[in-house]
Amino acid sequence: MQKTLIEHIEVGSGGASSIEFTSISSEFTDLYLVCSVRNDSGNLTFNINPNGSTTNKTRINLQGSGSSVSSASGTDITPLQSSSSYTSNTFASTFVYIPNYASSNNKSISIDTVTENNGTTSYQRLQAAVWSDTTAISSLECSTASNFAQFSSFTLYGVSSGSDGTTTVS
Amino acid sequence: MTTAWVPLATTTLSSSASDITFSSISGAYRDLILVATGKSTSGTQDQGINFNADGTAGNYDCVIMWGNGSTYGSTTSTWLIDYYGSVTTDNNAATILQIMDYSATDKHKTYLSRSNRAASGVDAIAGRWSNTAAITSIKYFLIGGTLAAGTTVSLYGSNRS
Repeated sequence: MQKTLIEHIEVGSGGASSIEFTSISSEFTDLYLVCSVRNDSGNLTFNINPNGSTTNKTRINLQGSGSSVSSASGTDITPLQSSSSYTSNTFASTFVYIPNYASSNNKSISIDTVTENNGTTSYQRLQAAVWSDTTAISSLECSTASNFAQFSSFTLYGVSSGSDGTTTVS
Repeated sequence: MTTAWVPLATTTLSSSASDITFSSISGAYRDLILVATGKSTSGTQDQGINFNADGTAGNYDCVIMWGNGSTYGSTTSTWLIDYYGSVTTDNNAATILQIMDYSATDKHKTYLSRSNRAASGVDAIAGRWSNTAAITSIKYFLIGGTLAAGTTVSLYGSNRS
């Protein structure tokens, strides 16, 4: 059983403009981040900053709104969050997968992220991202304009590869 | 706390290879999850997958949803697990593939692939292998190229818990 909880962070009363996982051990193979996020203002995305970095990031989105589709690129890593105008108590859901986070390669990142707005316009986004830096990821910051709303949560897992002693690879 | 992703096998190529094949896969799990950061020896290449050494393209079909940063679309193919989220000579692509009910013998095998390459595009692919046999081996390869040293592929078993 090699998918291990590293840390769970829940935003408290008053909100927070950022959260950060620090001192991430390099003992795992991949990182897996699960987010449930709402903003206390009108912002529909938040930022992921590996090692606090706000540079050397690129991404491509494929996005649906319930009525239209689009694809766009940018120089940031941007999962969705529910804005304050969305139906009360709805939080956006996000999976972030970072393979080989401790390697000396650039870090490719896979993101599946959706908002929920009780049947009105809402978004589903697939995002391919890369942090073009060969440094091992040892911290992961999630930040937003304004604040993450109370009860927004972020859960980080480490995934360890290995052998079951039966499967062979060639 | 731990959850049910059981590592089955992993490899990082130390030299180029035509494919990476996982064999003797136990039927003890519900799903299989394959995580690949592929790399080609030359140019941009699409990734493919075969099960149980079945190399007949007509036994595979998939539906692809893609975006490349400016346009988007949907198409069909055979054993592809990426479309714009293809690999090239760096390590900037990530593909995560989940194969459902891989050991069942009463259904065709289906998979979901999420492939990513921030310089070229993002894909979601639903695929099917039209065979009811339990999957005991998986071959990962590049459709028109060779896997380069540094390619890493890991296989996990999942019990959906």
